[in-house]
Amino acid sequence: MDDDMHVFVKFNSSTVPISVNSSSTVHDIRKEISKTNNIKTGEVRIIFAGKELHDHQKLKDMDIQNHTVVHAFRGRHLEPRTPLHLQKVSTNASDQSDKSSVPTYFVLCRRVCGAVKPGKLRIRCVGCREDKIIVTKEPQQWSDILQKGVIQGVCHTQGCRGPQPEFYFKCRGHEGQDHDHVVPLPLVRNNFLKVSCMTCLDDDSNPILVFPCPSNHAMCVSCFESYCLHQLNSRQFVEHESAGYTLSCPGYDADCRSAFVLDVHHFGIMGRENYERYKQFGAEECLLKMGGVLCPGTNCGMGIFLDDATEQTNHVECSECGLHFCVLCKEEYHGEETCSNMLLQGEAANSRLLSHYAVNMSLSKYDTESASTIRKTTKPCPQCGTPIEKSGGCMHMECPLARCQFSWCWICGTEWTPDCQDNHWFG
Amino acid sequence: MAATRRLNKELQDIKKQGLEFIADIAAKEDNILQWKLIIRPLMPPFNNGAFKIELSFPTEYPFKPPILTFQTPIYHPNVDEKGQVCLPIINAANWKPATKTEQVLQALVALIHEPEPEHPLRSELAKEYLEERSKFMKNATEHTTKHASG
Repeated sequence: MDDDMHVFVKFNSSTVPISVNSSSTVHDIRKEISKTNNIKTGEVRIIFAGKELHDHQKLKDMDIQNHTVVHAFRGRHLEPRTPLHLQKVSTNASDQSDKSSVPTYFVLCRRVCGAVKPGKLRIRCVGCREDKIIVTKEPQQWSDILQKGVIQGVCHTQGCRGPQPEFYFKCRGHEGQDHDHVVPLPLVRNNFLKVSCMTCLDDDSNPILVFPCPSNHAMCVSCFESYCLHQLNSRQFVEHESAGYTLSCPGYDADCRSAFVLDVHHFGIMGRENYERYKQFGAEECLLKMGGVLCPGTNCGMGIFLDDATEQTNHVECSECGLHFCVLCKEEYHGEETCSNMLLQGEAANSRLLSHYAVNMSLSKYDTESASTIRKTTKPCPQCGTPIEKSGGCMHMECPLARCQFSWCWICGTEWTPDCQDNHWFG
Repeated sequence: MAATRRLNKELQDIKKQGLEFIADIAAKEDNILQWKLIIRPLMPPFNNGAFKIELSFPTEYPFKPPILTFQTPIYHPNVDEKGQVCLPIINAANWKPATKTEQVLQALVALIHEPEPEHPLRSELAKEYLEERSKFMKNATEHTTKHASG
């Protein structure tokens, strides 16, 4: 910590910088405020991060650094009889600022650092949006701060008295402005125990992402990014009723499969562009699951819900690009003739099903060739129609799409039966 | 890259561990994604054989499983003529990123020792294994001597 630094004190709607040093205490700030405002020291109260501060507390122990903003107001200050150890006050008496073994929160700083960074928890009043609120109870767990209304507080902004605190996070990676808030990542933690990453096997990664399974399987942040990207590209994210489009722990245990990442902000670790893709894929999967279709028009991909009339005629006009297409074959609308894909066979069947994923196809100039290669090398899953390539092994196929997983026979193109096993399991 | 870091560590660990049924394990020509090794089964009818195996890891490893092929022919119901083997642990549907290559090799040796005739890739061998065990043992021993002695 610099010896010469400034703390900003908000008092009576003005903000004044106060010079402090590494050994300054809260008492020094109170004295300074009382001097400049000509009031008694006993009438100055200081609030920081949802807590009232007391004289004996050193600023550095309270995580008050250069340019940190604290709030002061006039009121009777009562020093507690036994010194309070609020916050993460050093438990072993050593005054050395050895922070390497102190747990930290981690945040995703998208705008400035573009990375996972240590973060700091701050509290403000929902009513006046000022940090001049004292909480009545300390948060015990993540849900206390992520759910509104669990923790109450008393706001000391004049005329506010709002009882509702709001918790937010700031990034420690850069010097931020007042309203420079970042998203917390509750699953990312310090790796004090030298747990090895289940993916790259390194045991000195820090921080690590800990999955919510009973075994607390962990991955380093860069492996988690690769894991998410791989699962995203192969459409292996699954729909979870409360969390949405998400992943579970890839560990062995039966419990791992139901240990989902419930806070999807963690997927922001993939970076802005892939996070946008993630959101788009999630929306597409949701739409398909609800019986909608994606417009097969080049570079369109508009999501469309079918109305009763469409159910009859299979004719859809895309409101975005104006393409008239057939719901069954996803080709240009062909009139009243029976659609060639009713029987789900042959080349046409493949092309129909390809267009489930026709979004942004024009991005590739090899589009036509790709489509024809896919037609040649794949067969459609009999249930969802996704083109599937058989890269080896037996004839028993399982659709790799997370929302389908249909078990079928490569030869018959229908559901896998004991007959398939008896007659042509391996060709 | 996660694959390189991890495979270097895995290869080191396997060499250090010195599994008795594995010999000459190495990455090919400084390509850590391609391994070759020799399996020496401990139980008859394959215990006099040395079987060359290739392991090919995708760049997406360990999010995708490795592909394992026999370079030496083996008389086994679960390995086809091309050297492909149906090993559930590296099946895409069962694959877990936490599965280590050592476990894959353990599973492979277990399958060599105890064929699974109910999931065959060569049904005629499965039939022979189930119905005429002594004939199977004799054929497999001869086949091993002819193709895999070393």
